[in-house]
Amino acid sequence: MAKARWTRETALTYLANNPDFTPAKPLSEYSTPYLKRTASAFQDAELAGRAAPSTTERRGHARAPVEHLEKEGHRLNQYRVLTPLDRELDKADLQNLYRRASKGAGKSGGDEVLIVLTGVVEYIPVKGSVPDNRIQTVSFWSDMDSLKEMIAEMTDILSFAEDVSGLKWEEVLAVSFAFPNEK
Amino acid sequence: MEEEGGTPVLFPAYIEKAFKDRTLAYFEGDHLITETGDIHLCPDFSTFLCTTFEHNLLVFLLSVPTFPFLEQAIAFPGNKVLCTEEGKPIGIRLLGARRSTRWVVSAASWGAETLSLEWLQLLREVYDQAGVGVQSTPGSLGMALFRKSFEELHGEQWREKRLRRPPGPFAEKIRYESSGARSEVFQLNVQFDIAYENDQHNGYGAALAQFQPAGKTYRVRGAAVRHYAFYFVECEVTIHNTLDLGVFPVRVSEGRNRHPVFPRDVGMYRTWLWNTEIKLAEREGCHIKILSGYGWKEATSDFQPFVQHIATLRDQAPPEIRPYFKLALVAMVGRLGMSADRYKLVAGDEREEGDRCVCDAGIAYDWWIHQEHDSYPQSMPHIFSHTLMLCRVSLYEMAKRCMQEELNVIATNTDAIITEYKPAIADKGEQVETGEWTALELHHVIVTANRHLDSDEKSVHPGIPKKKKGKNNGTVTT
Repeated sequence: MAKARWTRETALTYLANNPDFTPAKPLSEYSTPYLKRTASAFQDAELAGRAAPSTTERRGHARAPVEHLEKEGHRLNQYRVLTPLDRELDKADLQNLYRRASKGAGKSGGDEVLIVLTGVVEYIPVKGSVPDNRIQTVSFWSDMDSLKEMIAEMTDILSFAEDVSGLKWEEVLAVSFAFPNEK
Repeated sequence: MEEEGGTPVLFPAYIEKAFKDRTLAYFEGDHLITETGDIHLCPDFSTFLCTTFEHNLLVFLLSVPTFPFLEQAIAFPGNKVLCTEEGKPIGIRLLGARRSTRWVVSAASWGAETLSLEWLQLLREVYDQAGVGVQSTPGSLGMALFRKSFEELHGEQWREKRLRRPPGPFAEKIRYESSGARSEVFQLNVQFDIAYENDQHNGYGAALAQFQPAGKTYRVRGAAVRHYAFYFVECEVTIHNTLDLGVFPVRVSEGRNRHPVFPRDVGMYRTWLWNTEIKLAEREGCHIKILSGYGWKEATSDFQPFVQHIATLRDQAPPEIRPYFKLALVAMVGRLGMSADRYKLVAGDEREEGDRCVCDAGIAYDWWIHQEHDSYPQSMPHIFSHTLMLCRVSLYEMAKRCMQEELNVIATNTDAIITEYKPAIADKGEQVETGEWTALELHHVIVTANRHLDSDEKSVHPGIPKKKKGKNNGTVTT
């Protein structure tokens, strides 16, 4: 079977006739991207002779989980994503982080946010100023509207980290958005 | 790791508990001559070192590069020979017992062209008037005066009231993208029988005394920027109609130099501007699209008492030492704009990977330029940049007024405007407040290049030693 170029209609028909796919709600209520992505994943599995695809496979890759680190002691209320083992963080991960963090920001007094980056910085200003393993955590202040724009403009996680910090990065291991003013 | 977004660097880092005193001296030939007239023979570096510590000296040289013991000073353990990025020595810190230090510095930074007992005594008078001990350079004198006024302003609370330096990468970006002072020539090589130099009294001081950005530095992008009290951002500025006078700076490159030009022609320009400049450009009909940059929500007027104090010192001082207080203020403003990187000369056996060799006049020396990063820098690049911007804006407003009054603007230079006709302002020499404009009548005036002026009364040729200048040798430029 040749790979189809999916439309909403062909995806609806394909999934309606696929016994392995069990919808949680009427098919017509799903969004077109979801239908196309799911139909494509089921077809790939069928062509490869594999079992029905998992949710992760259907999505393309797993979203990096967002951790909520509540304000405790000197720690700020913050939301964090860690880089998954198999790939870099991407725009979707940061948009997801932003979405979750915005709810936390709503509880705080202002719109300011501390962006915390952990990773390896490409440029080392002077000998001895960076720990031997070269992994460092740095943080910079911004506001939620500016942060949203920075995420919208990013091409990859390194460009985002450079935009926020003004530093060149080799690798970003974690990103947090923290809020100091929670009442 | 404060510098890259951890604990912030605070300014000022400290307040002196007691001011240090030194005996002033200069070194000429192989003699150290002190302000009291004592002469010490120093045929070698060891004697020089001992004499300097024994008599508690601050030593001035006419030129550090020609110091006969430079090689020994570089090689001697613990000493530090500071240099420019190109490797030109500018000062020597000598290390003594119990980590005590003494300095050997260039008298040129104080504007001196010859060394004499009289000059040392003049400088002593400056230190006595300032009342903050003996400081080796005008910049350190200005900083000491600032710290004193900061402590007087905040008392016991001074630690909590300290100002916050932007994180290192932000500070460097602000330094890199900031524009310097404004200077333009409108009538090149045209001689005028009479012209007026209209000068803003204590221009740098007036700008520094205004509200300055303070508090946390925010990384900002897009429309959100407008919610900040101060912002310095990259933007696209569109000029729809040709302007009589350029409103905003655009930095252009010529080799390693980046200098500001002030476009007047219709077109779109990409540049970094402060909010004050953005509002000014919008007032003049330009359209601005803000991209991204840095914002501040708080303001400080902590520099105002310092400016007032220096103005008082200057006004009350005898005429011959007044220029030194102006020098201290201007040098202090310059220090606010300094990089966190410093350079020192090291001997060949102490060099590290990446150090550059000193070469001069085709000769390579076994001295190496070693870069050091100050992890707690005492500069405030955002305040420096903002101060220079305020100077440019007040120059623009005055120049525009002169143009509207058809006074024939010949040139502008930092805080001065040369016009053919006199504006309705006070005459130079009259008692005026900081920031007010005064006019000085000049005869046979010709502007020969940007910032270069000749007249019967004064000549301005920055970068050229006075003895090599043309018909007049008298003017100090800043």
